[in-house]
Amino acid sequence: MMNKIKTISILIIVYSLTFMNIAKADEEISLWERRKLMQFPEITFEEIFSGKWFLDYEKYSLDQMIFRNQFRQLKLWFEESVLKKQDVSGLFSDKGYIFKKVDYKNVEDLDKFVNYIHSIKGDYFANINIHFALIPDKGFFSERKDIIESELETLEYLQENFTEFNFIDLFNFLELEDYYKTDTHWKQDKIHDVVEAIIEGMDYNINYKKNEFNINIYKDFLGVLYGQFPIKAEKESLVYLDHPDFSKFDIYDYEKGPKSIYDEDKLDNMDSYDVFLSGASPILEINNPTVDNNEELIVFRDSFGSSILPLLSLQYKKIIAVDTRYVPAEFLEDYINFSEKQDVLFLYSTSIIHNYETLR
Amino acid sequence: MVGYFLTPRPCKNAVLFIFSLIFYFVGEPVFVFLLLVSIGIDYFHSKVIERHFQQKKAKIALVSSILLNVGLLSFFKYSDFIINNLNSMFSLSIPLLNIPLPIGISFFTFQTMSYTIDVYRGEAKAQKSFLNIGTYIALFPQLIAGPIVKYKTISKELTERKHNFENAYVGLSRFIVGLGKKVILANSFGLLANKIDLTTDPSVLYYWMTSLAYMLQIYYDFSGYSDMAIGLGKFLGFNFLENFSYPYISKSITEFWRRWHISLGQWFRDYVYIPLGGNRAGKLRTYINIFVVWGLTGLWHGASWNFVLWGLFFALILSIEKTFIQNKNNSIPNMLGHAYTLFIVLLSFVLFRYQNLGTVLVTYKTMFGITNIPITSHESIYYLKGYFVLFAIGIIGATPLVKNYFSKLLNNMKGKKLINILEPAYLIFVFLLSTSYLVDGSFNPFLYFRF
Repeated sequence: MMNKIKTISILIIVYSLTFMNIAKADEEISLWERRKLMQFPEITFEEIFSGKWFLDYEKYSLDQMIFRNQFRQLKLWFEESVLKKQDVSGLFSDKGYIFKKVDYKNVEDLDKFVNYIHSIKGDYFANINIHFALIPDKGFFSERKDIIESELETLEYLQENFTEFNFIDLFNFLELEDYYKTDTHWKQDKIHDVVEAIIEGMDYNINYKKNEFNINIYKDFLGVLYGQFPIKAEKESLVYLDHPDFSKFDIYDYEKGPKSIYDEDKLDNMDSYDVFLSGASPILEINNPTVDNNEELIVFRDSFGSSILPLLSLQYKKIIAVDTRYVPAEFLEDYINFSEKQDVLFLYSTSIIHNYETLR
Repeated sequence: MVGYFLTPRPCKNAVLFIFSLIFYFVGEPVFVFLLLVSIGIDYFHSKVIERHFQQKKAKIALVSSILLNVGLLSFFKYSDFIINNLNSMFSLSIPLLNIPLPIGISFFTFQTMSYTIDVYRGEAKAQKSFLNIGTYIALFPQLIAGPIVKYKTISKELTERKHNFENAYVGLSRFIVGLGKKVILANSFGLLANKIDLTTDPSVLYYWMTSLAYMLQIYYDFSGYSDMAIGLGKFLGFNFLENFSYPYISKSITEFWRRWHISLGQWFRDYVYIPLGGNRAGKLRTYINIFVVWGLTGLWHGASWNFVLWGLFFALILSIEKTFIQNKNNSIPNMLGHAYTLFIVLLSFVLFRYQNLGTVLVTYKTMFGITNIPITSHESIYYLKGYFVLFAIGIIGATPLVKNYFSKLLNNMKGKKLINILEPAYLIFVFLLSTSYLVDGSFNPFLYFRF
């Protein structure tokens, strides 16, 4: 009798799920995962006999599983609370923020990154003022001691190995609230202190006025991490700042041609952060005719640069932003006229430094 | 399943057979015909063998059946291996055939061969009904990944099996536990094991850790699938023999192979080792037989030299154990036996894992510190901490500790009552958790599918 009860109990659960699944209407997209869901695959002779139909059906049945979000949360709970994993598929959450864990290397292995930077310096900037600013990963502001330790080790190692550079410490000018909850990047309206630190660090007189900016708000921002991690996170405001001088800027992408500071068409894309300078580009030139100096700045940057460059550009006649993930450093002289009058700033985040293999 | 249980008894095999063919069709639409051919070959050959029992024609039919089955297996699985080796040895340029490998061909051809050989030996009666023999061979729970079920173990159950709630519950429990082992444990260990191939921050610790992860992945993957097969079989009224019996508690490699993939070991013992003379034809012949059997065992696992070497590696160890250790078993402390066995098995799975022997060599060198790679690295320490609990669960789960504890609980009324409540709740939880892993992940390979 007991076996009967136990068997039937289990089968009730199994078959209830099955029937609920069958009864449930298919959904086209998952708002939570921010992607299209697989639909019932078309039945054709070819698809059936090649086996593809069955593979597609499997994807369809998993995508359309009833309580899909709850199942994902169950897995997350099990991995975090029972298995005590420090991250789940490279992500973890803390204080309502989603973090993407940087794959920290042993700091000694960062010598390849150091050598890479030195080689760029040697090739192009032997006699120029060179500055290095390290952007801490958002994880530095979490409760994770291992990440805090790794970030500080990275900072220390770079300071020891870039002694000939002017090292600008940004760690003290940022806090967790300066980053998005569901994205890896910082908020443009929260980095005025960082801008000032960089300008001051490069020995300029600060001519930067925070209150000259107007605020544009996109209220439905969900960062790239949102879909990847099954926790309920609220939409945030993505603020992009406007300045009276921005309209006079002349921005040129060496790959795609003229650009504007903000590409509002990108706000409703999967990666709204691309609103800043339309996202990634190998070489970008920002000319500011409103300043009364002839200062030029070459910035070697990653994606964090997209939101800070418009603010830095208020100080310079010309900024050339280089992203060597998309253009090999050895070809830069084909595009850029380097001169001793330029300042050079290497502005990289910890995550890029520990993935220096992406730099070409 | 509902259809099966609602069908009257005389038609149950028909339902099973058709469903099994559909099951195979889902994975291999074209090769379902190959499965039918394989069933047909041994159905007709076994009838000839039985009709001419102990006569020359029976032997001819047996040889014909074996040649056809081995021929099918060789064609689909070993053609390109043979061509590659011919090209290398004789500087030829024979183009590869690139034939897709039908899922489970190594399992069902061995199963059909065991049937025909048993009929030849008089250990089983030839099945008159094509439907029944088709049901036996194509039976979906064990069709694509074993266990390799001998006909004589289930011949009675083909026509007279019991369906009751006791079998149903035992079968369902076993299936769900197997599902959890595969989807939760094996896949999680697999994620860690694969990190060594992607890391830019290697270390000696990383190599040992991911090798251990692979060792646990392959155990939970394969034993999990066997549990699902045995569980489903039980649910349907079949009693398949155990395929894994806590192999990682073994104190010798000899014992390990009595606990790991038992059905395969028995198959090679009964159909290759013993016919070759086993250990009854003198010492030298015994060792030759061991090496032949284990070379073939390795080759069965994959069409690549690393698998053959893996098999021969075990042949060497087993021969050494046979010569120096077996009769002196009691003098070896248990802990030493356990440590030695796990060490050998862990190293063997490195050879099993990589087809590129250069990678195997680099892995061994790194594990033993003969390279410039540091002892530890940031990433390896990070993952050791992150996977510590999983390793603990995996290692404890690979021993009978939990089973023994619950067996003790069942010895008293209170314990029994508690188990009656907790066990179904636990099974439902494992089922739901397994579903959550399937829903969330796309990483779900079954390692032995390539066989």
